[in-house]
Amino acid sequence: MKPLSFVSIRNKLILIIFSVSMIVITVIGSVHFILDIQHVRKTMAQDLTSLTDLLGNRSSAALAFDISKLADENLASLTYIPNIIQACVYKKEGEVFSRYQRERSKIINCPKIETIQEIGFKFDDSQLYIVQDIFQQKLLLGKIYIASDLTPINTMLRNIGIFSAMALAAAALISFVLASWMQHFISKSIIQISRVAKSIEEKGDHSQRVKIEGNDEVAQLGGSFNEMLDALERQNTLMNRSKKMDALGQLTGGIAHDYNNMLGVILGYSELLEGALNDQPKLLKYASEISHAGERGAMLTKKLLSFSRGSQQDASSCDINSLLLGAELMLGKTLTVRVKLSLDLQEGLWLTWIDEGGLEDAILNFSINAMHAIEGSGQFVIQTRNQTVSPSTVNVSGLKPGDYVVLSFKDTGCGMDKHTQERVFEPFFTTKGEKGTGLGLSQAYGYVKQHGGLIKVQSQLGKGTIFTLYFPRYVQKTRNDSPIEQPTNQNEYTGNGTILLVDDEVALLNLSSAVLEEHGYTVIAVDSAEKALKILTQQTVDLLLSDVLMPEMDGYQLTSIVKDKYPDIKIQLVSGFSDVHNVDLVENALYENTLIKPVKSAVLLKRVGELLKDC
Amino acid sequence: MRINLILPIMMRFNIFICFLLAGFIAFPTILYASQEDKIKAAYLYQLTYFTEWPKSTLSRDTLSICILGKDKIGKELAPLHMRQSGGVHIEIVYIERPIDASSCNILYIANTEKKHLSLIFDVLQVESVLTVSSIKDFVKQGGIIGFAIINNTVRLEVNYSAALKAGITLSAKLLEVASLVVNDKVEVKHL
Repeated sequence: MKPLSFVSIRNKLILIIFSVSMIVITVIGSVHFILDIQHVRKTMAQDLTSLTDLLGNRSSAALAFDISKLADENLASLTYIPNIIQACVYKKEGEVFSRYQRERSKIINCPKIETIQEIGFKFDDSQLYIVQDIFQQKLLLGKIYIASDLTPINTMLRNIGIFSAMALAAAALISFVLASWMQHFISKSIIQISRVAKSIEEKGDHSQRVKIEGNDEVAQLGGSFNEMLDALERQNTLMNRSKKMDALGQLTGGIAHDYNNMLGVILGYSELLEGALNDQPKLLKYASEISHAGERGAMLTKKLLSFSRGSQQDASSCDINSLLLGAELMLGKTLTVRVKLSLDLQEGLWLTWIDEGGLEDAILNFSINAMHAIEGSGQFVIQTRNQTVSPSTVNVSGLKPGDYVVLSFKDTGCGMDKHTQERVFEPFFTTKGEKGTGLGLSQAYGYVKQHGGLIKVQSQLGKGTIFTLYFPRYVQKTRNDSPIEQPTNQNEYTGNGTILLVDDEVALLNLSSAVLEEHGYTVIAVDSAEKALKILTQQTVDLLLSDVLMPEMDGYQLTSIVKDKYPDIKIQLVSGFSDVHNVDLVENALYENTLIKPVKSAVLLKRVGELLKDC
Repeated sequence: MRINLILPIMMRFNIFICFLLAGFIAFPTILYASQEDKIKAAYLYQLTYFTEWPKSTLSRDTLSICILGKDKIGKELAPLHMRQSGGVHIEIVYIERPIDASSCNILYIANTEKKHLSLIFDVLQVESVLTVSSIKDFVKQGGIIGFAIINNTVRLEVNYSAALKAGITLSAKLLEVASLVVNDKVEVKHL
């Protein structure tokens, strides 16, 4: 474990600044003090050497002509230098010639010449002594010895040491105060980032941001942290919206499925009634009204299913530019003269795989919304462009990497507040009161999601709104681009063969069974996949006609088993609510040819007739 | 005639005793005189280190110490012959006439020449010769360095003006150790 790993960054910084300061101050102080001591000693030695030279020189004649009294007088001048303890002049033979001592009370003998033979100076604990030869020209006459007391110097150095220690303590205090203050410049932003991060971790509040001061690396880190939080918040918003929409999609899809089943029964039996009441015009009209109402209901459920990723049954490769140009006149009329329509279309726009009818509906919805949003005159711009989303921009855009065709709708209307923007794609959410159904934008949302795309909204109150739709680029033909099947005269589709009919909705099961039996087919109707598999073990079947969404085992799973065990049996799937779960179990062609509920009798009979024409 | 035969035995004994006593009395004086000469000889040698002669008068290799007259100092100076002093060799020269002193650097004038001092000074008045002598009041008579016995110690007397006249520079330290300094007839007592 690294040292100081448990210490806070603030204390670490204080410790580092304080330690560095103290080390520098101590080193500099110590070096200075040592140099001071050396300088003082050197100066003292130089001064004493000069004095020794002078006295030696002055004593040379006294030595040469043996006049010790003169030498004594010379040495007596040392009285004026308080540090000098003792001085001795020796003859060259070593005999003491002259002497001086500060303390008169006690005679101190001069050291023997043998003990001070070395020429130069020497420091011991309390004394500095110097020995010099005495020459007259080059004639050696004797030696001079002078001892100086170091006590005053040592006292002075001790005082300097005490003062230095006090100065060091003061410096330590100042250094600590400065370190405590200066660490703030570095640690403030880091601590703020840490606090924000901790707050996010503990409270999950992504709305907090680091306050950026300056432009240093820490400020840049804070900026990046804020950007990361922005991206995270956007992601969260997208994810929450996506979850919400998915939940709503499931809900509306489930409702639509049930309604489809009911509408299927209503439409089916009304068709049968119509066939049976040809000779009673009044009752026939009633039956037609029921059928007509059922069809309107079917249209509504289709819209709901569009939102809940209901189906791509009608998808084909599409050039959105061509579609827009074709719809320009109609859109212009929709927007009325007070709103100016502009098309900004990129040349060479990539193709997409979409349901053109659904896109027309979406474009019309956006146009109507823009018209409602613009009070007085305004502008509505439809723009297309190609865009490649790289892996590095995935997190920001929320799109998978790849090529996209971007279709945007920009109006100069009243705009939306944030709350409205968050709910704008919810089914039945409307700001138009009773005028709106609340299905237009949710249908567009579902439509775009259904095609693997993304829809974004940007809006500013009083300035306008931009809806941006991303559709994946179409690069490979993956779905049957067959024309929509039109209902035909059901009487033409009589046939024979054994059909295993599977649907958990008993009313529909009975209806389909009745229609098929009426047209010559042998029908074995069961309300679950398990029962169907059991039937298959007991008797031969020509066609398996199965609902997709069923409890326990769904249509895809059933189909997969049947394909595997009974490869000769023809299969037709019927679905009211497209669910991608287990879709990989079935062949592409089977999935693409799924009939969408409510299925008109004629359509059903035509498809069954085609599948069993060889029987 | 043999003495032994002339003087009676008792007288001979007395004479022996007298000589013996005279010897006992004279021996310390002789001993001291010998020590004094040694000191003077040593001082003569030391003087070479405290004196500067005009460069023109100095030979490159030798410094001449001349002795004029008969003096026991000559015996003590003999060991200094060819000894070095400040890079030159000392040469001990015995001269008999003052005129011969012109080539000397130091001239030691023996007590025997006391009566000829004026002549000697006349001869040397244009020469750069350091005159040294033990003759009493030597420096007062015009000599440059005199040896005096004060309290049984050999002390120096200096005639500064005579040295200047001879073109000789004496070290100030020499003046400091001198017991008497004469300068233009003015006497300064030192130690």
